[in-house]
Amino acid sequence: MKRNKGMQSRRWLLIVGALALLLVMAACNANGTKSNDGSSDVTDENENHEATNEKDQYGGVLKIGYSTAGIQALGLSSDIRLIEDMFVSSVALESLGRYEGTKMVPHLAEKWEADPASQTITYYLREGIKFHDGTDFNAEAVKWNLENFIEHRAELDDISEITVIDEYTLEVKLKTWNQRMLEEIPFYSISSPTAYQEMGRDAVLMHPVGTGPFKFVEMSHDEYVKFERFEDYWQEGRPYLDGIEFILFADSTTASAAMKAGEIDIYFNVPAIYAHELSQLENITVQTNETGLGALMTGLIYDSANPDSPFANPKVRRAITHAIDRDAIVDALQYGFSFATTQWGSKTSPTFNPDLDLEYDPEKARQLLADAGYPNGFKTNFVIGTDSTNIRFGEIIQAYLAEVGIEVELEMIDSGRHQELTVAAIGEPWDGIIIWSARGDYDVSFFMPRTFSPQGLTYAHNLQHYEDMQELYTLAKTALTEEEWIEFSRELQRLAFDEYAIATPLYISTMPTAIHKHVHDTGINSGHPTRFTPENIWIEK
Amino acid sequence: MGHLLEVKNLKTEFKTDGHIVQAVDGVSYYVDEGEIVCFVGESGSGKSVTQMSGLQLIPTPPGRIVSGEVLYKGIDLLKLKPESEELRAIRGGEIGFIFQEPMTSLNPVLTIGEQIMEAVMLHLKLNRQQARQRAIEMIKKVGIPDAEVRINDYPHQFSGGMRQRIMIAMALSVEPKLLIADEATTALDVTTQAQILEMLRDIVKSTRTALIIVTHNLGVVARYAERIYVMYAGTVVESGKAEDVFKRPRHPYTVGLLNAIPRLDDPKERKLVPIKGLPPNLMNKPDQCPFLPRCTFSTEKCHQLPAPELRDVGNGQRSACYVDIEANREKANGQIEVEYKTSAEERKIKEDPILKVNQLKVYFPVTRGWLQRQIAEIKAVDNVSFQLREGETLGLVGESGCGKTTVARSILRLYDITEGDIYFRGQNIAKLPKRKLGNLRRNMSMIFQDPFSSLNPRQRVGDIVGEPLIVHKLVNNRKEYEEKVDHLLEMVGLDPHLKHRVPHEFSGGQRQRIGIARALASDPSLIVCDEAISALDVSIQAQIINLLEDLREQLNLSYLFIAHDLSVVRHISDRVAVMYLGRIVEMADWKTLYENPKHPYTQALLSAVPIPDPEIEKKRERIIVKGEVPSPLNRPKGCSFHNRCPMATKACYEIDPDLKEVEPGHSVACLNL
Amino acid sequence: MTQYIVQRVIQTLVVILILSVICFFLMHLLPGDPALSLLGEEPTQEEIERVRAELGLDRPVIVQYFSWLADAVRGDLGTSIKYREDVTSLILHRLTPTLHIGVVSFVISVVLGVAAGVIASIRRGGWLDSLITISANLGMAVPNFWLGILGIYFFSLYLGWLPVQGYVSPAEDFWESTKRIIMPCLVLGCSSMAGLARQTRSSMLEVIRQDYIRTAKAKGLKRKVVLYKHALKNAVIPVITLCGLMLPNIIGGSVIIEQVYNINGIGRLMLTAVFDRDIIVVQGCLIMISITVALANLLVDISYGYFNPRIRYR
Repeated sequence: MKRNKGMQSRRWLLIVGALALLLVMAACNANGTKSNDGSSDVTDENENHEATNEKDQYGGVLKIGYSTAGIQALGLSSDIRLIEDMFVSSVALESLGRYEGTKMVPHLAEKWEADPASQTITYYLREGIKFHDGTDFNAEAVKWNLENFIEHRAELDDISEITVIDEYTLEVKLKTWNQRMLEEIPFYSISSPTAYQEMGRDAVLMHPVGTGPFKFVEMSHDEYVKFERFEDYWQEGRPYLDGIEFILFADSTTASAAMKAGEIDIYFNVPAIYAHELSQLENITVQTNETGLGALMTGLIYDSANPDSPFANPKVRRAITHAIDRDAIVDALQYGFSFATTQWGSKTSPTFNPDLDLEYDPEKARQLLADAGYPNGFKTNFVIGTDSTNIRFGEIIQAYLAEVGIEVELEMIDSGRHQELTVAAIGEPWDGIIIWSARGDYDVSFFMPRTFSPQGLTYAHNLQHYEDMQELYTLAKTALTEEEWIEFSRELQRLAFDEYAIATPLYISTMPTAIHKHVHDTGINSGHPTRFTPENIWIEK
Repeated sequence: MGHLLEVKNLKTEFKTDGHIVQAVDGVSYYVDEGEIVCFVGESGSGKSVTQMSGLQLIPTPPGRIVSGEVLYKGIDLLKLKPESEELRAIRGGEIGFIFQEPMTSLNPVLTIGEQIMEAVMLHLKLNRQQARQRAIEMIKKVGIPDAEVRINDYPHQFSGGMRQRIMIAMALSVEPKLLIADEATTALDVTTQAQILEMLRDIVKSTRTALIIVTHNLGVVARYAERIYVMYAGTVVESGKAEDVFKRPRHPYTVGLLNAIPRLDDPKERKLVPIKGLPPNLMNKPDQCPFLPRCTFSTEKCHQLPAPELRDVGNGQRSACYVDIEANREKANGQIEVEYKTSAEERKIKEDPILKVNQLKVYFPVTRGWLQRQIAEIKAVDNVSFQLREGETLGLVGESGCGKTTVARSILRLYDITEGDIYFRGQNIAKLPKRKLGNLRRNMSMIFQDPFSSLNPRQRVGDIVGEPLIVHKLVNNRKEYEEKVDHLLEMVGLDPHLKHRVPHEFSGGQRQRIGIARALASDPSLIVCDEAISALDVSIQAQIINLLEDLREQLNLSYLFIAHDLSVVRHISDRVAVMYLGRIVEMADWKTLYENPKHPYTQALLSAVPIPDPEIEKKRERIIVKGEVPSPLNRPKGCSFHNRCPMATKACYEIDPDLKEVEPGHSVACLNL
Repeated sequence: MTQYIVQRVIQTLVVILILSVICFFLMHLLPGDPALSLLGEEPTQEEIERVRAELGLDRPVIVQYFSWLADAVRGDLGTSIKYREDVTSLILHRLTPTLHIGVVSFVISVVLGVAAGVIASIRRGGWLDSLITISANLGMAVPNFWLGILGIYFFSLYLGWLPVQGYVSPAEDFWESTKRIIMPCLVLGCSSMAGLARQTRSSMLEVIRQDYIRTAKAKGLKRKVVLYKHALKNAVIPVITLCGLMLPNIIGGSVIIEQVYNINGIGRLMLTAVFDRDIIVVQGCLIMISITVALANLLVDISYGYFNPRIRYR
């Protein structure tokens, strides 16, 4: 009996010891950077896969993970507002054009012709395209889509009339010429009007019926959206995949673990820290978007409308522009998965004004403050979100501003409160500085007024407004040549960020998306970040 | 072939807080088949541990059996592993155990049938069906009606007495050769105790089972024992035939015990002779006679020699004492130096009552559900009237649940009175508003049963005693206060220097003295003693009784003395009232009540009390009352005693008798007089 | 019994009513506007007003509450602001994974926790006891999310035994379903398991000292019988009380667990609903959780009666 007990004890010790060992090993591995071997389907020679691609690798279901506040709408472009919803719906809904790089090229349209003089654009549609419900894609359908959009949204309000010329030709007449419409109209996706009439608005919102390579199957809120191959897709021999499944993640740690474990093939719009982590793995590439299109721009904006605020003085605002080292923030907080910028849009974009000096220069910042009557700085408030990245961001800004003598107190608020403070329609002013987010697209005449004009939808209620900028918006919008448009746009950049320094842009996200190397030809981040080429994707077996 | 059980030189220790307590220190004894042997001793004498050690039932650690042999039919049980098949066959199979606490000794979540059956199936190798039959048979045998039905009931559905019967049924169901009853009836009422012990004796005698009764009650010993072992401080100090030991105790401790207890057949005025001092500490005992510090017979020799061994003193009687008690026989039998207390006649008992209770009723509502609807009433006290004259002691006796404590607390207005009047010195205090009770509480105080829980453990003794002085503003300054506290402590026989200590540093008897000092602080004229001496050991009990008697005389106090021990009540009381189910059934002066009881319940009660003298016990006629006290919720219709009464007639089932005076000063509530 | 159940139902209803009032007005006091979270980044004044009118958010709070209450009494919990779905069906759909994981987790933690407690009490003072006691103390101290992430790294990424995330209905694929819930269940049950182990241990040690255990030993019963038949049945009584107290823990823990393991349960629904100010869904979840907890407590109470005959007969 005694002997037996001794043996039992030894066995127990063994088990416990083994467990402890495993734990230690796991911890080591978690810290380590070597790739995991969970996803065994990765081939070693994936470097030269393009060459060996037989283009007959049909089949497979692609799993794409992403995080979102919630699916709002997938079926009607008028209601699709979130970049995540745009990304998901783009496998089922297509649009007249597509971005290749920063250039809008025809897709469902064969071509379009613009006539600035008569303020018309004529679209020539591809023939023989069917919606998922079997109805035809034609000029009437496009007309219906555009009209529906105008009814619900403001972006295309410059359209005065849409005329169907013939089954596949459509003429759009503008109130005044607006070069922006050349990119806006082909951007929005086209859904089946028949489906809308049959299913009703509410149902069609969650059930996209378009012309895309994949047909909607089912969705579950906060859980998944499933699509299957559309057999009658208009591009011959496409798509390769049997289906695409979008999996929604509540937590990015989990999503990145799922990516590592190979449970998802693609992780869309990865938070910088995980993009950094995943980019270290051999079997994963992280695609970034350098265009600034559709991406989130982050900066600082001030309560300039408040005459009692030091920020009512443009010099103070400009001082801040010089007080912050953007590159350092991008490195520290964004792990390089954003690019620093001093103006609206990326440095490489046509509207970027190269003549402006807005770089980091604390000496200059202090000088500006002194000129503005604050040689010893002042105290102010900085409104930020409550998550850890936000708080770190706040602390870094705090430190930079402290260097030039501005004492910043952080005010942390949740997202609901943030919306209340920033939506112009609510009109509640914030106090001091607030985090500024906007779309980073470089077409300033279109995007700037959404914040900086008195009619602006966000932040506008608490900003100083300038007449000369209003005029320039119109001038740029209605410019007939690209040169003119560039000139006016650059002048807007100067006014907005140098002369008036209404806000301070800091960086624009590159929308990093992690992709397993066995997934090919995704087209992700090759143009607009919310669109990709699902029809071309194939999975290497 | 030797004895059925023979224990040689058993030593058991307990380790507590780094100290070693020698709980059993070299005990040897034997039991023969069919014999009834009693182990008698006070708490801490090691009498229970001795029994449990033999069967390896003591918890180890902290316990440890150091040495010795426990030979059962020649097999040394201590050589067997505690979990071995052989030992388990003997423990429970050959030797049965009945423990002290019937309320907690049965498993509350198993039916009593199951608990009996599992033992039967294990030891008699019967199948479930047969075991069930056996269980029913045993339950019937121990006198529980409707055995077939009740076998499926759980322990909480039985009263304490019933549970003890079940314990007995369980122990006897496997036909053991030896039964050990460890304080088996201590927690029970006298009538129940008598029923159970009678039954136990009859059963063991008919089955030739040997029985060991472990008890502190000398009366029980005298009534049932054939042989006796007296234990003190972990050792056997005297053993022998029951008659011999009672008639000629040969150890000073035995002598002391017999002289310390009041007896039903005592001369009333005999003053009890307490054993002085306290039981010894069993930690690190010196090798010396353990009784030496308390002994009145000790000689120079005793101080020099090591602890005495048991030695034969003739006729099979053995004693562990160097002194020849026989030479001091007269002193030993308490025939010289007998002190007599002041008799009631000599004390000045005034005619006018200090307390007059008139038709007192105390009902407690029984509520149910979340709305607390009242569904019934417990008539804890129902129409009780009595008078207490100034300087007099009224004893209130009855079994548990009879309402005696409720009466006591109602008089102090600790309970709300439903109906009736209480006159204290002519003032009706029954309806006095709560805030006007201060004066009343000054003149009346209470001594509680439990000296352990009735004192605040964090308060210093001086403050406990002095508190009433401050509450009732009886002192003018600090000096006066200190003097008064010192005086009170001295009065109850405590050293005033101890007043800075906290209660747990005192023994049970000392704590009761503190309780008495507190009760005396406000200089009351009436003290209610609620079971004030029940929790104390025999030797200490005598000290407290003497103290109470002395104080009564010194301070001219009146006592309402509540107790279940009839011998004690007889000893201290001038008049006695017997309660049953919330009523007084008989009330008279002590002599009349004890010598000429009229109510059948009083008669049964008195008959159930054993007298610590085997010779008298043999001659006594017993009236064993059947059944148990019903719950006050189901008071029987008519005379509430009719269902247990040997003389009940048809009328008793219908008519509820009033308390009537049958002769001057003697009232009885019975129809058959 | 019937009376008791009726009482419990009334109690639960009162609790729900009070909760719903508190929750409704608290949600209204919170900054943030459900219409805004619905409209995305750049809403116009018209859009905001249209949505508010659509959702009835332009009415006074009291009116909103009573109109919600009036519908709720009729069994209609309303339509989610965010999902535009019927809240009842939304919640029922989301309740499945939560209940599945909750129940399994509960069972696992009770079985393992009690077993560990019993073992520890039997081997009191031994190394196994120390191990269990220390683990139990750790288990109570370790936060769920941390344990959850650790579990993912160890079992999914390092060992590759279990999937990282997601939920599959057992009706669909039992084995896959089990693989997916096993880790969430263990993590969710961890602190309860630890608590139960501790309670069982101390309760067993307490019971072992009781007189009836001495009686059982004196009957010559085997140690095992004494422990499992006599001691354990008594020792579980306080443990059952703790089980009842554990239930809200499990529901509360599910919020975090569902987040970490990406399970689309009611915890996650409620969390996002709070963030999106979807009052209707929050209210619905509260009611559903209250009912579940009340039902579970009723079960616990009934089983309490089963284990404790002193309750049963009263």
